Amino acid sequence: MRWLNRVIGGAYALARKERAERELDEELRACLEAAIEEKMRSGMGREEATRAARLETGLVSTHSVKERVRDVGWEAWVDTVSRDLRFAGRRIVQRPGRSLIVVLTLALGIGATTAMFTLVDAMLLRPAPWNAHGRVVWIVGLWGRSPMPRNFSYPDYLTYRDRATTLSGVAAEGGTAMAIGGRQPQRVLGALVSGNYFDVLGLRAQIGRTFAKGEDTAPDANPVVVLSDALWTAHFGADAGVIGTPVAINGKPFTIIGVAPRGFTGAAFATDPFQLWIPMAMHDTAKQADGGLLTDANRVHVVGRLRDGVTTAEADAEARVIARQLNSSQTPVDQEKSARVLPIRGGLTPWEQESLAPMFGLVSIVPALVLLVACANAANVLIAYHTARRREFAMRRAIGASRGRLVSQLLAESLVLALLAGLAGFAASFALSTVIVHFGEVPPDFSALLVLDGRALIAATTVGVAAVVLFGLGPALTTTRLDVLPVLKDEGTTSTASRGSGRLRRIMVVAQVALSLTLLVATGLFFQSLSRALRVDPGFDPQGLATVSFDLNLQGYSPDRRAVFVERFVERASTSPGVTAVAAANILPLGGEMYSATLVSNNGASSSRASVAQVSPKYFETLGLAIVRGREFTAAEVAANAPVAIVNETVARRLWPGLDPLGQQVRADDSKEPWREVIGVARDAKYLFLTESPLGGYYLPLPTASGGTFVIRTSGTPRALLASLTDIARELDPDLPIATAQTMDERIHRTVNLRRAVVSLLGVLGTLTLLLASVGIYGVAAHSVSMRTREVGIRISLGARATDVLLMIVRQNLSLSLVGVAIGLGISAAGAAMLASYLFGVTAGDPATFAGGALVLCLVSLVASYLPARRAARIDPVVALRYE
Amino acid sequence: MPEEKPSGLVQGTLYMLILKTLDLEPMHGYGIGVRLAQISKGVFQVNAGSLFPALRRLERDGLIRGEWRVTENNRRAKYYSLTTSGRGMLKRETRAWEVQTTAIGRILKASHGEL
Repeated sequence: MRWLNRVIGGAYALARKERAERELDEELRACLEAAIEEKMRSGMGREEATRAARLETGLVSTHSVKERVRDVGWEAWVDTVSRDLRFAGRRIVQRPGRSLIVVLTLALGIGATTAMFTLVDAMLLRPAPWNAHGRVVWIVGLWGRSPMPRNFSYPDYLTYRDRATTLSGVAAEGGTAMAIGGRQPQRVLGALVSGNYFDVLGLRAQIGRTFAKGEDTAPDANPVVVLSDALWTAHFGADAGVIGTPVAINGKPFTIIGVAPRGFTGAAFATDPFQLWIPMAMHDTAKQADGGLLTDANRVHVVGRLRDGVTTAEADAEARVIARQLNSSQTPVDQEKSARVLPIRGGLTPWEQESLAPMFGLVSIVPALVLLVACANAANVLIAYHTARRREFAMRRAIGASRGRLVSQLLAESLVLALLAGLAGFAASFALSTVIVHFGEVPPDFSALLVLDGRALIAATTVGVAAVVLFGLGPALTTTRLDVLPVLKDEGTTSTASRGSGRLRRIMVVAQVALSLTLLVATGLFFQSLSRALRVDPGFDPQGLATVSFDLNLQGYSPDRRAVFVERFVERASTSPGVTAVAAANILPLGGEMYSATLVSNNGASSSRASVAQVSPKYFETLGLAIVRGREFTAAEVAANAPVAIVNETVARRLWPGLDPLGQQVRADDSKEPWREVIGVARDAKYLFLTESPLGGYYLPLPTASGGTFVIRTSGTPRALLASLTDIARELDPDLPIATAQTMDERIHRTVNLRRAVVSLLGVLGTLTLLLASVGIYGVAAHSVSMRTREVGIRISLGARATDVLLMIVRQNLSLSLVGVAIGLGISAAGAAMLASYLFGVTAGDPATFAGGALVLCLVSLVASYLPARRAARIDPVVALRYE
Repeated sequence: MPEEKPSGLVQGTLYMLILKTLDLEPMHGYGIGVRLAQISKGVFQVNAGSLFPALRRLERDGLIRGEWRVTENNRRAKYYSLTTSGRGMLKRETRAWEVQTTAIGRILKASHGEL
C-alpha cells in the first residue's frame, strides 16, 4: 500500500501547496534556531552561533534543502512540468510569427496524415458501432492454397450454421440489385439474409421489427422487408407510418416490417451499402437476372457471433475442422475448402481488404512525406530561434541549470506547439479531404466515409506528439550542447554559424528539397498520365451524347413488354427537341463493364479478346463511330436478328489479314451462335477504359427482347436532355427505376476517377511541400545572413561589391538545393519505377518531368535565397561591425 | 539531480537509523540529527540536505507521522513519531541488517583454512 500513500500524500501536498511550503519553511527554521540556541548555550555570540549552526546542519542554503525535500514526492515533477509548460506558453506568445509558422507547417503535415488515417481507418480498422466488443466475426472460405479469403456458397453456409459450436449464431447475407417501386422508383442494392441475421449482429429495428423466427424457412411465404435508415429517409420521407404498408420490390408486393438502426448498411459497409433486407427464403420472388444465391456459387457473406468466453482463435480452429469435413477424398488439391474466422474491422470485406491494402500502403507514403518535410521545416525554424538563444542557455548553465532541464524546457515548448498543430491539423485534415474530394470527384458514398471523429483527433495528436520527437529533440539537443565560456565571452554573433546546428539545418534543407522534388515528379508523372488519358480518342465522338439505362430484368419485364418499351422509348426520344439520333444497345462503351468473347473465322483464324455488343439500327451514326467499310445494320436485319455482324478494324486485320473482310463468316468461339456474315467494318474504339490497348470489337443486331440502354445524340446540351429522357421513361412505366442517366462526357470522366483522385491528392500535397520547402530554404538563407552580418560587413569594408556578396550567399544556398535536387532525382527515379504500372502514355523516367521538377526547385530556391542575399548586399559595414 | 550521500552512510541505512531514533522517543528534525551524532559518538553527522528529504520520504510512506508540538524551549517544532507500520518496518529491517552484517562479518573474517 506504500504507493497508495505516496499518491495520496503527493496529491494532498499538491492540493495544499502553500501550506506545505509554509510548514517546510517553519520546520527548517525551527531546526536552525534550535542549532543556534545550542551553540549560544556553549557561549558563542549570536552571529558566530548562526554561522556555526548553518555549517553544522548543512542549512547554508535553505533553498537547496527545500528543493531536495520537494523532489521526494512525484508532485515535484508535476510542478516542474507545469512550470516548463507555462514558460513555453509565454515564449510562444512572445514570438507569434515564429509560432504561427511552426504550427501552420506542422498542421499541414498532421492534417495530411490525419486525412489519410481517416480513410484507412474507415476502410480497414474502425470497428462498426454494432460490433464494439468484437463478438461478431467473419467466417470466410479459402480455396486450395490461395491465401485470398472468399465468399461462401449457401449450402456450405448451412453446414457451418448447423455444426459450429463455438458460435451462438451464424448468419448469411447476399447482396443483389433490386428495384423498389413507389413515387420515385429506384434501383438499390439489397440483401437476401438468413432469418437470424439481425439477431446474430445484435441489432434491433429502430421502428417496427426485424425478421421473426420461421420467416426465412418456407419459400416465398413471407414477403417482408426491412429498410435501411437511408432508404427510409430518402424514399419514404422518414415516415413511421410506412410500417405495415406494401411496397413493390422487383415488381412484387412486399410488406415493410421495420427500419434498421441508423448507419447500419450491412456487415461490410464501405463499398456496397445495403439499402434493404429480405429473408433468404424470398429468393425466388426477388429473382434477379443472373441466377441464384442459393446455388453452389460462392456468393454469400457469412458472419457469426462468438459464444461467451470463446475467442476468435478457438472459433477459427473449429471452422477449419468443419471445412475439412466439406472436402471429399476426390476433391482436387487446388479446390480443397478451408475456412478462417476473422474479426470484423473496417468497412471492407476481408477479400476487399486483402486486395486494397497494398494500394493504401502506397498512397499513405505521400502524406508521410509531407509530414517529414513539415517536421524538417519546423525543426529548421526552431533551430534558428534556439541558436539565437545560445547566450541565454550558456548563462543558465553557468548558474546551475542542468542540460537536461534546458532540453526538457525546449521540448515542452515543442510539445505545446505540436499540440496546437495537432488541433489545427485536425481542422486542416477536414479542409484537405474536402479539397481532395472536390478536385478528385471521388464518388460521394466514398467521401461520406471520411468522418472526422475522436479517433481522427487522437490520431492527429499522436502524430503531433511523435512530431515533437522528430522536430523538437534534434534542435533541443544540438543547441544546448555548448561550451559555456566561449559562448558567454563571445561577442554574441559569431562570424561563422555554429557548426552543429548549422549542419543539421543544412541537412534538413537538403532533405526538404529532395522530398518535395520527389512529390513534384510523382505529381508530374500522374498529371501527364491523366491528361494523356483524357486526350485519348475514344474512336467515336463523345460530345453531345446522353445515355440512359434501365434494369428491365429486375422489373420482371416479359420479352414482349421489353421489346415494346425499347421501341417506344426510341420513338419518343427521337422526337424530343434537339435530338438528332437515338440508338439502343445492350451495353455502351466506357461504362465500367464489357462483355467479351474470342472470335473465330471460317478460315480457322481466331482473334484475341473482343468486346461484344448488341446494337440497334443507327447505333454507329448516333455514337459518331465511323464505318470504314460496308454499312450499318438495317432495321429489318435487327428486327429479324439476321445472321450478320460488324467487326472493328483490329478484328478485321487479325482474322483476315490482307483480305476483304466484307462477306467473310465469323462467330464467337464455343457458341451455339450461327455463323454471321460481316457486312461492315467499324473504326476501333475504346470499350472499357480510355487507357486500354486496342481491343477487338464485335457488333451484333440487338435482339428485340434485349436492351434497355440507350444513347442519344443532341444538337443541344446533353446534360439538359437527361431530364426529359427520364420523364419519357416515367411516362412509359412509372414504376421503372432508372439505372443510370449520364452524358457520355461524364462516363468518360468517371473511368479516370481514380487517376484524377491520385493526381489531385499529389497535386495538393506536392504544392504544399514545395511551399514548405521554399519557406525552409528562405529560413536557412535568412539565418545564415544574419549570422554572417559581421563577416559580410568586413568583406564590404575590404572592398567587396554588393553583387559579390549577393552571388556568394545565393551560390551557397543554391549549392545546398542542388545537392537536394540530386538526391531527390535519385529517389524519384526509384519511386517512379515502382509506380510504372500506374502510369499511362508517359515513361517512369520521363526526362521532361524530371528536368521540369528539378528546374522548378532550382528556381524556387533561387528566389528564396535571393531575398535574404539582397539584404546582405545592402549591409552597411559600419553598422554591421557594431552589430551584435 | 545528484544525490549527496551522508558521510560514509550506506544509502537506505539512514532510514533505518531514523526509525530507530524515533522508536526511542518522538523527536523533531534537529533532535534526530543530534541524537544520531550522540549515539554514534560523532561518526554520523547527518546533513539537513539528507535528513529532511529522508523524513519526507518516510512520512510519505506512512512509516512516521509528523505533528506540531511545543518544545522544551517553548518553540513550535514538528515532532515525528513511529506509526505501527513504521515499527513493523524497523523490526524487519533490523533483523535483515543483523543477518547481513553477520554474513558480511563472516566473509571478512574468513581465512584460507575455512575454504
